Amino acid sequence: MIVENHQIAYRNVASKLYNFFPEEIDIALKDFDRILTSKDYHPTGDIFFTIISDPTSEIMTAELFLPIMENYFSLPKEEEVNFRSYFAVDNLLMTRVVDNFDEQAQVKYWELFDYMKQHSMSQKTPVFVQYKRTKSNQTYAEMSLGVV
Amino acid sequence: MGIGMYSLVLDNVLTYEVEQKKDDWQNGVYEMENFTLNKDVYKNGPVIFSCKQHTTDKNAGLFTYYLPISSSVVLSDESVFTFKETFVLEKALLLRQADQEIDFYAAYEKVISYANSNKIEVEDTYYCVLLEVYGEYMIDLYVPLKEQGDE
Repeated sequence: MIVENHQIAYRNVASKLYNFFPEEIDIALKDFDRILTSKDYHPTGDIFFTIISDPTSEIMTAELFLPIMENYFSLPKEEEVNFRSYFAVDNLLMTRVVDNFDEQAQVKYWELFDYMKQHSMSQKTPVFVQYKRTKSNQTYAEMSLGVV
Repeated sequence: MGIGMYSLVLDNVLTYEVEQKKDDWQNGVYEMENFTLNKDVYKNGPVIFSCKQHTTDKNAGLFTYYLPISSSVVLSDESVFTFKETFVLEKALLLRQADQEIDFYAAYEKVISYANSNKIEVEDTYYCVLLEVYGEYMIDLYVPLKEQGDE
């Protein structure tokens, strides 16, 4: 199932580019979390990222996004962390990955692109992945792709 | 909703300046959104504009539009846009306004009267963040404290 017009919007979002083996994304996320918390910023627990590299490549390039509680942010330039008071992308195609994440993520990734082509749309953003958790603690991911 | 002290921080923004009637404020929004359609970047935040009242014409002002984009761009010298790596208002009064009607001047006056009664000195430029909700705009209005620019 693919839905149109999905939106991702958060306030106070820090982001940083990482290269890693896809199965080691947790290490990258922990590293980013450590950078932020070591400077007394407080990530809210929301996590999302963009997949910038080709999904079949061995090393993944991704921009990791972590919303924080603070509305002011300043880090030395060499940390290469971006920050925006408002983050919003809209007009996304979105699909969910509920289980077998590693395998399903690949399938869903291409489903988004197939849907885009079938509907004569063109790509505006890389693929976004948002980690989500329901009240009953089930985790899932939302994968989305910005189109026009 | 109340008024509070906040920061406004943006990374990678395109800016565009124009002197115009206040009623024409939406033109700049369209101008900026068209730009990203032809580039290898995408818009990743709401359009923001600042307005500094014209000294003689009450209905006009100097508008600067800010469009947050995903990464840096190199612009040609002829471009009407400029690119900024970062834009910061370190301290500003923020009014989160959920009005359906856009009346940013009324919102600005609300902040000014709050500033006056709390003896806070503010700039005469205000910044409107255009939040799109169900196809309509709501605004967050920031008025920076004196003695700090946007540089």
